[in-house]
Amino acid sequence: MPIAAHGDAALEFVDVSFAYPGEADPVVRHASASVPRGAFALLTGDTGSGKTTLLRLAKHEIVPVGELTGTIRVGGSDVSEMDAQESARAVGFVFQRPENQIVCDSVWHEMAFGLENLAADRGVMRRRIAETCAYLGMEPWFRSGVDELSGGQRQILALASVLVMQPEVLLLDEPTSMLDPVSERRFLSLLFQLNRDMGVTVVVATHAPERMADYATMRLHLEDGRLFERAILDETTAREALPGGTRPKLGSQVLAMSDVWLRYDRMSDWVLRGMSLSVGQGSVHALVGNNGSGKSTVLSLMAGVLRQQRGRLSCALRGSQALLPQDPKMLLACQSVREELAEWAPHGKPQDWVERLIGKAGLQGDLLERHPYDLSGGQQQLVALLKLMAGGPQLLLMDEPTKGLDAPSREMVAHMVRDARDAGATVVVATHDLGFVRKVADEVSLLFDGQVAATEPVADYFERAWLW
Amino acid sequence: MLATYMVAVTATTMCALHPVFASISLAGALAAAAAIEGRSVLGPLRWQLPFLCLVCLANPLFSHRGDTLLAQWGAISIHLESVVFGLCMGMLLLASLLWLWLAGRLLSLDRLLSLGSGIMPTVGLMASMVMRLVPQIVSRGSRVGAVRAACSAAGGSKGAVRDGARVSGILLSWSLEDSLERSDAMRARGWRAGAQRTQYLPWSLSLRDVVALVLLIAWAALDAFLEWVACSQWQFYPVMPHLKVWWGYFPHVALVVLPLLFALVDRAKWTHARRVSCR
Repeated sequence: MPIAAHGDAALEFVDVSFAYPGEADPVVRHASASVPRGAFALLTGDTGSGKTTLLRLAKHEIVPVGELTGTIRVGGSDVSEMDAQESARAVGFVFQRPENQIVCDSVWHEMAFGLENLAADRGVMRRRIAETCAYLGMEPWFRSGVDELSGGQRQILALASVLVMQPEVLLLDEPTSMLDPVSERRFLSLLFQLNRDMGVTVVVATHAPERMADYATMRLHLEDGRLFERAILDETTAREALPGGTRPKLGSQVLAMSDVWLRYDRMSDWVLRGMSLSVGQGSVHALVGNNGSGKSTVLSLMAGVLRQQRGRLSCALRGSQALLPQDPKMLLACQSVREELAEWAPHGKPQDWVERLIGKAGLQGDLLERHPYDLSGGQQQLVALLKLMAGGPQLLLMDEPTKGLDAPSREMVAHMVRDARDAGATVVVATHDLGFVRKVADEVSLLFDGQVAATEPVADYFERAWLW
Repeated sequence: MLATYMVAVTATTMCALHPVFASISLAGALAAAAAIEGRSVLGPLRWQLPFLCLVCLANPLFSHRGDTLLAQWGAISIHLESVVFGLCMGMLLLASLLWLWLAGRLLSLDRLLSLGSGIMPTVGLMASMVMRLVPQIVSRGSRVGAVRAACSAAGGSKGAVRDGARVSGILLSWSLEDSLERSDAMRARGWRAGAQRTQYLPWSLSLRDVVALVLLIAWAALDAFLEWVACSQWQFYPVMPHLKVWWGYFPHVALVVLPLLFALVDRAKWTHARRVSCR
């Protein structure tokens, strides 16, 4: 693909700095970069490095409150001088969580929402919606309600409802971090097609650039508030290898399910159909499989949150367990990170305890006084996990612990899981993240159609794996 | 169109407390429900029929008006007029309930809201968001409670009141956070961009629809007028006048029998089509 000359930039940052109110250090310092028309640019950086902030600066309506200097241009015109209508047309923004950006209750209405706001003519709306739907292959669920959609479909809908406005530049903030690998691949290939066929300039903030390496034309990296151009793939994105060394022998069975059947409603389909599974003491057991294969359901059953309709389940560690839900917000209840970590601290000295936890996880001390909601998604996940470790659980059940995390945070979670195991805890983790499974798991079970399709030691599993 | 029909038929059913009109409405409602929904009509009927009987029986027990004595036990006297009144009232209630039930099955919320949103776009949007977010918050609440209860290593439950307060605190901050993000997403797509909003409809209103709509409204108005005439000449107490054959009942029959006709014609078309394709 021919890359346009420097003068023909779709998106340009000129000496941009930004600081949140009340914070001494700016999040972005003197950032300058230019994304040519038709480029597929990646924006990388650690969890909490300001990727989202930088993207938002380019979209005038959603610029965060704070002090901004410098100029940002889209298609040659200054963003701060565009009116709301121009900006809505010029720049499309897709957020990280599809469910939070969906406004209406049906697919067709959601797609029309933006055009209705811009007072588009009915004929124009019909045509744009028809074309977008046909292009993205949304016809089968065009008349569905948004509650009936899968996560992947919701993210495609979010993309579609921005595309109908035909923006020149499309900004996406970690659009696939909530998707399973199959939906992720489908979403990314749509994005790539769009970039190539329609010439839409795409900027994607991501912590996993290797998945888009085949498509991307450039990569911008944010580090300590500074923006650099970097090679698309480098040493930080190399494929993870299986750790060497011998694995501890599996202990006696502490958690067993045999022929378990479960459905959520008398009239609905079975979610688990004769599931049998056993977990040995002191092992890390990974559950893998696509969305809807029953991973989260199995975890809830193990935690005693759900009850099976048929079959037997025994858990020897019911009295000392902890469940890390998919969304860390379910566990975050306090006004600051310090209180959060102290809430479930062992009796005695919560202060020392918090200091020790923080030191162990390598979180910076200044995070302690912040509200948990002001942290990035990855930091929230770490805080929730640290909070759970407080009681020293003997059984740790984790649902997608690495969802939305960058490589260093994933490494940290892996480290914590290994530590817990070495201290004698049993861990069951449901995940899509096979790199993480390679790192921490002793045994892997592949779930499919409400049953276990295979349970194998991790090395054997990956040796024989065809798809995953 | 469908909404107008449903409003018309329910209104003309509800307003006519008259034995002939009430029986026509009930017969029509039953036929329509059976033709369109098939066996699932038995669901609401399971509780509606006993309800009808109850109204029939209760009225003569409490109301002792009327001149035609049917039976007498001590102080309790049963009069023909009050029995008929109870029966009419029951039929009217049952027919109205059936029409409303049918309307609920046939009209999606989405369609109703889009009818209203031409006039009040923001209200329509808000209503649809509330309809979506309330169930979401409820299900989140139960999930948060379950997760906290499952963390037995961390002390587990600390009493229902404290747990409840914690869960609602979590839900509140979570929903606020979501709503910030959602309002950003709305503004990012030009919400409040200054222009007068337009409205997209996934169906179109043709000339034929407009003509049919006008005819329907006119027909319903005629029916309502005839009902008014009939009801003003009718009285239950003290003595009921004799009922006569009257052309004025016909418009109501035609109105309530429409769904049945459409259903039958539709079925006939499909059977015919299948026969043709088998040949």
